[in-house]
Amino acid sequence: MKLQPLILLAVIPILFAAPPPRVTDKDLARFERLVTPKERPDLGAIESYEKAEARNLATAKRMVDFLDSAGQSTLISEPDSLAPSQDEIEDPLKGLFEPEPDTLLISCSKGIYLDGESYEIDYLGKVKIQGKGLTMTCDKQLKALFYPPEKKEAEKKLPPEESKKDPLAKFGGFGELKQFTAGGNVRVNGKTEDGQKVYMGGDNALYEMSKGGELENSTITLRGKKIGFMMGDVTDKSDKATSYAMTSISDDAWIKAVVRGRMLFVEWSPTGWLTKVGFPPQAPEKK
Amino acid sequence: MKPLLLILIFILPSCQEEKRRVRPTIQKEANTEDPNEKKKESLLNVPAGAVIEDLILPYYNDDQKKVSLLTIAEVTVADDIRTNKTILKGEHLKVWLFDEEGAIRSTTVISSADYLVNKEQLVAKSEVLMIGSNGKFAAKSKGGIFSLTTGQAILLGPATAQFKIPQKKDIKAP
Repeated sequence: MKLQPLILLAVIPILFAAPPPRVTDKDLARFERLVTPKERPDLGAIESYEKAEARNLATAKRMVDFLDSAGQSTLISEPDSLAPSQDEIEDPLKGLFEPEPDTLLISCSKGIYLDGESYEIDYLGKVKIQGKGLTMTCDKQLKALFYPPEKKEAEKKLPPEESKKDPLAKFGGFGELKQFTAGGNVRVNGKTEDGQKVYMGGDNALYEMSKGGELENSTITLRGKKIGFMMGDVTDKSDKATSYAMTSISDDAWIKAVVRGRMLFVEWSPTGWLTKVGFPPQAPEKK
Repeated sequence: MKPLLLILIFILPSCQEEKRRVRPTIQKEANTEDPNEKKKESLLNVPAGAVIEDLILPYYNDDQKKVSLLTIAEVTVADDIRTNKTILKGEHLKVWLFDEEGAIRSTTVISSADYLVNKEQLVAKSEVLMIGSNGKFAAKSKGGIFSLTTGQAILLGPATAQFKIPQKKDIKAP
């Protein structure tokens, strides 16, 4: 029984290259800090981030104050609708909000909150993210954190005449997407390059994107109670690949999935799992 | 009794002096008019039913940096019977929200919305389309509330947003 995680590691067909560094206590402490509600994400040691971080301490209170003044004080606590409804009337923006290979599409039931004082966007209620071959859903809140916009772009000086013509001439925007923190019944579904289903679920999740660099590199970490992980479909008897499912029996389990390019590396806490393996059907022996 | 009288003699003039010192300040405060309030009143002095075209309302913070900019192609002045307040019903609106450096963070297009003069909030009950981050971010919803003085906004759900992610090279499998 103790050997099962090791056996599983050996049968994962996608582990071709050197795996990413193993999860350390420091990584877990960082995860806790990032997913705890109202705690600010670790923005690193860059000066402009620290400035934003200091201002972000008041974000949660500012949102509550703003919702109060806007007559929406019960928005967060009020019962949620079943799911974001689909537009029945013909939409003039049809096609603009369709998932594309280079986009992430996010829908939420209660609303999107933005604040000029921070590089964050809060998605309230039931949230669904689609893109990069993955679909992630959560029940409570999703917070997107952005890198501050590049100074060079924001401060690019245009001739006065052009500036007058284009009101967006001095456009800072949000910068590149840095990370998401998701809370409440988080579910991640996707597929590997060879079409195998991948599923991860848990209470809280952290989705980090790489900045710059040449390689696609993102990390999803889940931690807490009732974490689930499935590669393939163990219930599908006709599945031609080895499949397996894991569910945590520890309150402090974690799973970290690193997407590098088209490869997926998965690491999980060493103990506290129930595992089920589904083997592909054996071909009939030739006589 | 004598010491008490002596104390009163000393105290009373000093109290009167205090009153004299405070009074001009109070009078001055009463005469001071907040220029923002004056602007608001000038908007409210327009009778109900009046139509204003091409209204532009810029908002600055204490450091004179831009917080938001609202442009309304057509505004109709109306009285809200429920609250007994004047509201401005706008059509074809645009809201620009700025970041702390004064750079534009997002621009929002709204077909119709109410501008609450006293709260300095814009309440949209029609479709709201927001575009930001050099076109890398877009969001739409069926309504929204914008606080023009603080640069805060909520796009009321159900809402949808989209991000463009920069494409990067993939690792080649060995």
